[in-house]
Amino acid sequence: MSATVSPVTAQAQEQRGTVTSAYTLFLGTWQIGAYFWIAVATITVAVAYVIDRWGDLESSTGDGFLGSAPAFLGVMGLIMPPSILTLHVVGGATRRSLFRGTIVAAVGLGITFALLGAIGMLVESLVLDALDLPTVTLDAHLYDSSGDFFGIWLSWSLSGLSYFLGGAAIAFGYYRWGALLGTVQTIGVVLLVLGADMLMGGGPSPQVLGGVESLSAVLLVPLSLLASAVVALILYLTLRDIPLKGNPASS
Amino acid sequence: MTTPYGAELTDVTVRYGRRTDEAALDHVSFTVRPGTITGLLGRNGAGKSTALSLLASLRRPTSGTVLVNGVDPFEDAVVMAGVQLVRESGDILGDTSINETLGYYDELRPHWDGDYARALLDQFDVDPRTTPAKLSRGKKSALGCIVGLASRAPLTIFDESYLGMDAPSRYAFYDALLDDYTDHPRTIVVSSHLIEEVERLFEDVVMLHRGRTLVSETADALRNRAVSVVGPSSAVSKLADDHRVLATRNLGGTTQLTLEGSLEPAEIALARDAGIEIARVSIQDLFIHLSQEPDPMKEDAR
Amino acid sequence: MFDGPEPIYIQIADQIRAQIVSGDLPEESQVMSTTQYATTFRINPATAAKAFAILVDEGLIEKRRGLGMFVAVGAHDRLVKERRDTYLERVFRPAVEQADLLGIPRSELIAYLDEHPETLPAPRVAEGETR
Repeated sequence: MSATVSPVTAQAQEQRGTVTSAYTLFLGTWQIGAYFWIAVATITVAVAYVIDRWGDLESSTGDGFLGSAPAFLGVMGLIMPPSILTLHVVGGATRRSLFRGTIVAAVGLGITFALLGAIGMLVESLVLDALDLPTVTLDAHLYDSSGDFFGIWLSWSLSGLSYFLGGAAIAFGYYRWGALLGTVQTIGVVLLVLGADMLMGGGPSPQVLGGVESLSAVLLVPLSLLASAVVALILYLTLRDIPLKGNPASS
Repeated sequence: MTTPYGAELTDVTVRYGRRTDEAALDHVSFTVRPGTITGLLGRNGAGKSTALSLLASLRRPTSGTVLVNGVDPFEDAVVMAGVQLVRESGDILGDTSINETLGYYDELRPHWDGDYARALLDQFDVDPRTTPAKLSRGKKSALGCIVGLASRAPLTIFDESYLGMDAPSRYAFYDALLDDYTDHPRTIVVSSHLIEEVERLFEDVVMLHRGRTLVSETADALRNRAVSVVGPSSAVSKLADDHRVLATRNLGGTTQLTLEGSLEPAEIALARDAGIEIARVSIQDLFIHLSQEPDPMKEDAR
Repeated sequence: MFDGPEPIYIQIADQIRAQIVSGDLPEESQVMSTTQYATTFRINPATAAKAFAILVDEGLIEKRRGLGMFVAVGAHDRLVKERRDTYLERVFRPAVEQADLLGIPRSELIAYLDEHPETLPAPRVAEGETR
């Protein structure tokens, strides 16, 4: 053991790594996310207008478009954490702190993206109400109208969290295990993330879990969190001692 | 003030592929003494980058022990914070401004000196507002060197990191390195194949060849391994009787020999009388001789 | 610089000794610091430090705490005396032997010395030491 009295403590250093990576992931995702919101808000309004003009608007359009925020976070989860992996470790921070930073960022992004989405939905409900149009949302389990602010916020937060973690777990899975095992990991993660999403009434075929609609939020929320926790565990096992790719220039 | 980190590889093997792939490092051992500037030399594919990536905790060895500052550096928050590896590819955020990349290092590195980084950016004419992707190869290399210097890490490693720079920039880097090294003592490892330019900077030298350790000793000891003599062929060949000849070059009646070992004072006197010129063999030449021999250390390696 | 057969630190020490003998580094003048030496000649600071350690051991230069390295009082005279003592053996004898080898008669050597006046106007040595 070295007799060095170092001013650098492990705890402080882990915290630096966690905070720096979380901050970078959060901010970077929001920078790109700004364009996402402009796009989906425009589409929400445009589609509502078109349907109302040439047909009957029977439900909220925001639920589909603004509600794609968790899926967008899934894409960002694929892109962002792997993009800082090398810089993070070469910068002298541990993989552990990147894992923690990714969790913190996923929670923060899930909550803030869902918040903005819920606000958008609230605005939609006010406008639709004023126009005497229906604000009803279909399939969702924790809310049934675009004015159901807290239900939407909670529901999309949970989905956003699992999507971002899932994206990261898939990307690191391919980075670490290669094409074959990476795909195996992807299948597992996709099942978990879609499962979590379907608990909220989202996903490709919400009807499959339609039965759980009768379950109370008291059960849906912890189940969704459990699925995210399993995805986080997979992410941790992938990341904790991930070998970094070499210098492409030499051996 | 931080204490420079030493580093030690003991019997380290690294295999990238599965099963029978040739090992990138094959039972390699060497020591980097704390506070030295150590040169890591080897031909392309000798395993230099692999060895350095172990010190920087980019990966774990397949077998063997890696120690930095006396402990296994892998996922050790304190030790990793004290090791800065600079690779030629540069470890940067390619699509955002250089300021953001430097900001990331600043946040993570306990001893980062932002003022020094800015001064170096200025000196090497790198605009921190552009993205690294837009930089020329030379400027990209310079950016890596700036990260390496400004991190002030107790173990700082430059892995071929300045090869993209032109000669004036490289010399400016060597000067900055020496300046900062004397002001802020730390351990510096430099890997390069432009040996001639940097060999005088080295206190210690490690040579790798085909994944094995060829040399791990002080630069002075290494330089004493061979001597070059030039003079009348007959006189020169007499000297060769007591030494192993590493290289021969005939230039008419004059012969230049590279002899293993060093000459005794008596031999030196004799040689001078015979009009033989004695010169040191550069580390570059020693490296060429040593790395051309099939496998000089094979027998003693195990 | 420093391309001789000896290790670099020996060559650095030799160079500084030569500068002391020639008067380029007068007594009590400051010698370049290890750092300056290292950066000027792009050599490892430890190499320069090794050279200085030799010269300090020999009493030719001395460390003044916080100020740097200075040429010691008496260093010049000591070096000159040492070199004089060994000059004939070290420098002149090989030259004469070479002349013998080539068949140059002693008379020619003496004539050569007579024809070539001393290069320095007056020897830079303390009085009483001239032979």
